[in-house]
Amino acid sequence: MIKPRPTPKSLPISWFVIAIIALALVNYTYLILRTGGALSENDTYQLTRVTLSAEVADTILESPRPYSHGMNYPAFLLQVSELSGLSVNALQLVVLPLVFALFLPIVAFVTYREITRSDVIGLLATFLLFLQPDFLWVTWRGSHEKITWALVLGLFFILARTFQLRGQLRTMLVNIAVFYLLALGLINTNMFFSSSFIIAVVITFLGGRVVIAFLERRRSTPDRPLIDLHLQRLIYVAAACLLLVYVTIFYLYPPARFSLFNVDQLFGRVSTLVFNVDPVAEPELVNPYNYVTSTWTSPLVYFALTFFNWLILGVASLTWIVVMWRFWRHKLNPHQHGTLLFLCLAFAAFSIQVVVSAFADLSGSIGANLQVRLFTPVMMFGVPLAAIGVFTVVQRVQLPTRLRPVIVTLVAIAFLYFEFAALSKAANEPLFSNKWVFITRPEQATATWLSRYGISGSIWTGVDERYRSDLHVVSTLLQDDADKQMQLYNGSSLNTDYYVWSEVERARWIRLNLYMPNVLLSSRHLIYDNGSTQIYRRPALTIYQD
Amino acid sequence: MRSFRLSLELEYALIALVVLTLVITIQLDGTSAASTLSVPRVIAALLCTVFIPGYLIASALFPADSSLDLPQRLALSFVLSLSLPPVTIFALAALNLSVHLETLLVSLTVIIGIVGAISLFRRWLIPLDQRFLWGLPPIQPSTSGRSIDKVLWIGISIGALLLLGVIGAVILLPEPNASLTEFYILSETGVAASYPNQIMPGASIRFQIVIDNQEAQPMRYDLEVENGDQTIYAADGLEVARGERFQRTVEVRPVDFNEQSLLVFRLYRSGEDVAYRTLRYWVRILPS
Repeated sequence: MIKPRPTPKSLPISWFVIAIIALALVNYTYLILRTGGALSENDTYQLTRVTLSAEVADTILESPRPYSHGMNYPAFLLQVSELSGLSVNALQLVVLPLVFALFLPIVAFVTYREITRSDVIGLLATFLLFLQPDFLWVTWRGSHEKITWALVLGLFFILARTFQLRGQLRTMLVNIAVFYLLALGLINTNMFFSSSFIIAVVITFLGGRVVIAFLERRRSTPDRPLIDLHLQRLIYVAAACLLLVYVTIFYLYPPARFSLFNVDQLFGRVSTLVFNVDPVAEPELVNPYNYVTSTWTSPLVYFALTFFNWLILGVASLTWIVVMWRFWRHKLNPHQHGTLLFLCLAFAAFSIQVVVSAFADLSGSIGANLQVRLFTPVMMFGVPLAAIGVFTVVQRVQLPTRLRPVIVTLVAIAFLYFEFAALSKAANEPLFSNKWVFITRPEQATATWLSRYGISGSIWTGVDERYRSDLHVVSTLLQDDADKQMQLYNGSSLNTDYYVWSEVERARWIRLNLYMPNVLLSSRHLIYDNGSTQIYRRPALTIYQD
Repeated sequence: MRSFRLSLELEYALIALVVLTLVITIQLDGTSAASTLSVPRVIAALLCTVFIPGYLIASALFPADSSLDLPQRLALSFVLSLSLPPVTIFALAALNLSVHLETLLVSLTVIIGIVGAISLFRRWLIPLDQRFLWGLPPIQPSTSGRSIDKVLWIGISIGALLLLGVIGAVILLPEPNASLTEFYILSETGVAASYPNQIMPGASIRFQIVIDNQEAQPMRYDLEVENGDQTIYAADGLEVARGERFQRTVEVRPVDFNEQSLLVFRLYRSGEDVAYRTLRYWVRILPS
């Protein structure tokens, strides 16, 4: 399997890293342009609102609208916005995705290289990561996950780095200092994700103890593998991080405590910490496994766009089995391949969390979307395993020279297809997806208009939260939502004061085979028209209504 | 071995220059020079938030060249910078200071100053030949004959062309949905509520009619209000400059005395027969 070997000097590693940065820049630029710089989705608007609210209140910790899962991302956004003079919206939708495109590939590369002990595999894994649609989506949108995954990669880089150290106390202490500074950042970015990350570390530790005890059972020599000593350290890491989580939740960032105690039962609270779940009011009404049929035009389209994910997972799982088999057969040993064993254990730990969360999802006992939240870390650890598998196969297969152009052409075609699929999936391409995540300029104009001229009341905003997200941000920008307290409804709640109806919404209703609300709207006053978007108002039914 | 190395003094002078640029551009905010300085301000702010603090921490902790290679140093600079905002916020909270531009600027400058001084001192203690210094690698002999280089150069060139293409498209292509005229009615009080909803036959009602021209050019509009197949109000040749708004209180007297009488507001682009924007309003006519 994988053998640490020096990279040939002729291999221009830096240029390859630059090429991956260029790929990331192209990807994020495409996504920004595809939505016209007007991404409208829940997490982006939530964090934009939180930051704008903190900006007005001049405080993060006592902001009237805090982000209860952690304040690092709003604090970072506020800091960049204040210092640069750019609006929070511009940072969220355009600037930060491009800034992260410059640095994230470097962070991923050094982490994967440190874990796999190979420049080439590190490069390949980084390349695969930026073809992964879900990773692109979570690092493009205006969510804390940009920082979360950068810090997770940073933490694993430091962990893998310390796995090489034996008896170098000074160097170890320096690395530990960096590790806990990053851990503090991660915990304050999203403490519920951090706690599920700590659980994965504990599982890695437990798995490591079992595996190494099994592998070393016949050895008579007293020297323990270095990785065993470091895996033992993981339990102290987990304990220290849990202490940091506790201190942050209960002393440093009070909104997190309120969020945790909003969950009714002890089981729910523990689940929130273990699985990074957002508690929902009526979990029985949410079934994430309807996601494919309701969000994509057909299951086949979804499969075609996510084929890369399944391919990576398949190759990673196969590599995992082969690597563990070789450990079991003593063809690999933990003394020489400690970080490889660590990678396998971490992949298994996150996979176990996904499997358990899928059962929890199906039971409907905790909430929704668990497996989706935990899918990204599985992919992040699956990617280097898949890269190891691919690299090993490529090294072993000796292709006849005449076949090489064919193989190169096939690889190029596969790359183009996976790039197309990744961008289409990440952008929720309207040709394939029923869940549209953009808003048009005429629709934005109506959001501004409603915030300016609408009075307290209820607004029907279409079939889902697409338009509602933008209206929330606009009303926060105009700083008058607190006075008006508009109630926003979507879906079937048609009994409202105002109705917003646009060409985009009409196209969505046609796509979703819904009955058009024409009869309802024809009896309403049409009080606003900008060509493609209209606003209706219900007539007063009594002299007391306005 | 590097062919060119940036001295420690020059490196820290450059960092100080970036911080100074940020401070000066912020101080000049609101003056006539602000728009010219917006680009340097954005670049300096991004460097001071996503790179410099983490870079200085990494330099203080790993002052020797051998302890980190360049990609590792860049990666650590980035992730360490990302983990600092909570520290700043907690520090400001401990000092009972609010979070706004001035306090954020001062706290960032203090952090960069302190960590910068520590890192400078630690790197200065390291022998020159072991010290981390920025530099450019020596130019390698040409290896252009290798196929991997060709593939790489083609890949990078395609990526660069694509990037230039999308940036060019953003700059050169016209703003999407440029033709936007907002046409709406408000009640007399200027809000989208409290509209008159019932009148006696022969009575009149008042609306505020607003035309907001967000088109790419000045526009000339004709306005009509119809009721019961008759035009009960008309105003032609309304000139509205680009970005301007026409607002007029209009009094109309319905001539259709059915219980539900429909007022239709049509806005035309001058010279056109098809309505450009249309509104409608139901008014209840009370029995006489």
